[in-house]
Amino acid sequence: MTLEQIIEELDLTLLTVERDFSRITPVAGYASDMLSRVMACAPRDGALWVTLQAHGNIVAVAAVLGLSAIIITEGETPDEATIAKANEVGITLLATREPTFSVVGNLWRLGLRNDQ
Amino acid sequence: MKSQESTQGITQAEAFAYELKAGDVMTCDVITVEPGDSLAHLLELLQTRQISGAPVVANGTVVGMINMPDLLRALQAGDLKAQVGDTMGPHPFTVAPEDLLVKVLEVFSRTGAGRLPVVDNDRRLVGIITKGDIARGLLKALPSDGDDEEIRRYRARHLFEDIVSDRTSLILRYRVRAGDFDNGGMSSVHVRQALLRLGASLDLARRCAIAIYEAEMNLVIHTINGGILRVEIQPHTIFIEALDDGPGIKDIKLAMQSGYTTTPDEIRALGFGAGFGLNNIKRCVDKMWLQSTPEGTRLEMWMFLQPGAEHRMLETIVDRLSA
Repeated sequence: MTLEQIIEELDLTLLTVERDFSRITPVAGYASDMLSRVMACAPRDGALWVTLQAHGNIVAVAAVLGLSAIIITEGETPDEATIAKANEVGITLLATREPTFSVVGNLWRLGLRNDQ
Repeated sequence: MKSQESTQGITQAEAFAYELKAGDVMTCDVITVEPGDSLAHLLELLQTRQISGAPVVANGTVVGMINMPDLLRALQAGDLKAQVGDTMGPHPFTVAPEDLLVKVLEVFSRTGAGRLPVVDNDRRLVGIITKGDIARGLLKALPSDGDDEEIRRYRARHLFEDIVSDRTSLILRYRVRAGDFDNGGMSSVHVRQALLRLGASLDLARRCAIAIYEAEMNLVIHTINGGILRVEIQPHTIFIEALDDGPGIKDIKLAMQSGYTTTPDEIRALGFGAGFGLNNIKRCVDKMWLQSTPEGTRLEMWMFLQPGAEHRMLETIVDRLSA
């Protein structure tokens, strides 16, 4: 399933620059708000990360891990500097008012698994 | 660097000139005139459509080309009533849609023409091509952003192969500011990028970047004045050190325990300081060494890229002490 389909199905708001999301296929998912936990446990390069943290450091975490995108939940919004930094290092930021629980549930329903 | 980049660009553009054809870049929607049209009509056409010449077509075939200089000559002679057929050059140079751009460029330079009609085997007009069309076509074909990274990687990968010395190393230094949670972690992003460009595997780049991220965030969270990150990349070893000037770790044994943290609550609310930092580092690197006093902390991390690289640690240590 492509990131384009995920954005469409979950009605996510794109905060960073438009890319060809039909060519990006998240290979796994992870949800946590503890950054060190994400560092230790996010499955692998190309994974999708769901969190309610919206400060600038999440961009570094995602870039270090080579994640495909971050979904920021519960209506949290990153500031301009964070969005600019995400664009600079090529990390896609997506936002939703839904809580992490629903987002993960929907991703699971769409078929995103970590065992592929 | 700049000149290398432009050389690379030219080489690639040249390669595409041997792949792309006139038909790939030509303009298909051509404005034409007929031999019986008046020069006044032509003049109006050139002005309203903002072009400087047009092919002359009779019964679908190209019979000539009329350009601004032809028109100016006729105007100078005061002959605005003349027809296009009397004024045009009779035998226009043409190219075929299947002609390679390199051939089209050759026709441009041989004839000095500004535009060339593109005709099929029956001399029927199928398009028109200018040097601008070629430039646009080549620019379109040249790789964009994504492949730039490929070129950078290709160049960086040769760094260690092209330089002969007893010991070659690349040193990256980063200044980390205390309390800068927004920018903290960016050094590790940059190191990861550098390692990938140097040809490191995704796994190696990831392990290094995670270790550096945790070391970097420790400097951001737990130091008075921030600190220095120094990454020394060698063909067989990556040596990373994080240095600061205090206040030091009170109990290293406790700090190494998973889940133990001294991070204040308001910083923990941001997701930092869960107490896994040093453990993450230990898990990612091949060797780790930590020394801490109230005057400062030194964290050393080693990645060994080749079997036996561990024994060459000594070289790095001796070099560093004598520097």
